[in-house]
Amino acid sequence: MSRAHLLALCACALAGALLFAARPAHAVDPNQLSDPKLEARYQTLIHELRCVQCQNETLADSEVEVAGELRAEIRSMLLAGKTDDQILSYLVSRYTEFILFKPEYSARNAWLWLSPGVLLIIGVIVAWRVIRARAALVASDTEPVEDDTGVQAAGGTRAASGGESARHA
Amino acid sequence: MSPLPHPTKFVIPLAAFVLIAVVLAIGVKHSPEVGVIHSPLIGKQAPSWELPVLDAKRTFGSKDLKGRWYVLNVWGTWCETCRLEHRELLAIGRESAVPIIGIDWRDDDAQADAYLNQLGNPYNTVTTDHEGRVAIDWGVYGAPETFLVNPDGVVVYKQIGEMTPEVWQKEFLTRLPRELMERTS
Repeated sequence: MSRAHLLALCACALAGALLFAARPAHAVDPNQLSDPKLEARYQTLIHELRCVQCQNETLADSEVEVAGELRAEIRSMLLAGKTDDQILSYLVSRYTEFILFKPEYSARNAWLWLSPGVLLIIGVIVAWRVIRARAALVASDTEPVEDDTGVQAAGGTRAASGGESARHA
Repeated sequence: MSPLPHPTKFVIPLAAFVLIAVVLAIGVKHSPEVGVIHSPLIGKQAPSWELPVLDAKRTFGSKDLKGRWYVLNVWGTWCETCRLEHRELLAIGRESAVPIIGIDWRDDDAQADAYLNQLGNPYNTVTTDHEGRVAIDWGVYGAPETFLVNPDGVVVYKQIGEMTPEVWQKEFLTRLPRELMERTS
């Protein structure tokens, strides 16, 4: 294995460790559900939901009281056998779609979802046209040097002959 | 001297600029107040709720309010803005005939008693929500929040933040039937 490979591997491992460290869900909320399946769904849900008071945090990361109460509500709904969709739609019915960090796709916000793709396509088309135009310029500019002087010489002769013809007329 | 670019060369960048300017202008004009979540319950049936009454061994809730207009105020002794609006709530209690129901949110009963004894009690009934589950059902995310509910049990309006005389006159009185706007007796 080359040194470069080793370095890349180290960088990946470090990035992975940092990502893992950046999810301190249990540090904030020690209330675990005993069923690991429910706990996994609970963790997914609270990472997808926005704290309604401190609005740039997820429910998982927020330490304000209302976030704790919402987490407790989600736990009790999970224990009552509610599906993820039922829990999400309940919370949306109380706090609007604002509570979802990943809003639903709908006709109203379709343009928001589609605009990055449209912009990307426009960018690709523009870039392609610019690159093609430049490539054409470069191609016409890389003719052998002798030919270049030849063109100049020819131009010069033409001008000279033009001058002559003018004199003739 | 290089010739001027063809006029059509300006068209696409200019159109793009105008488009972006229009989109941003609409965004700025319609941007919601920072941090305000408008209640999705407006125009919908209020959640049915039942909570213990402060200092009483009974409960109170939507069943007791069937067929009546009521104002539901979510407050707490820990909430500074609630203290600010308390005078206005007392005035509303004095001047209008609509009942004010309080939900004392995640609070200590003894502190709530002391608070109401000291500042006066504007509420017809004070209920206590220690765990905040009824508050979540109402979509409460801060205090104070004040709801107006009609006799069909439909949420007509929600005030997020301080109740002021202006808010009361403009948003609540205009929605109430004439006979409840003022206390006649």
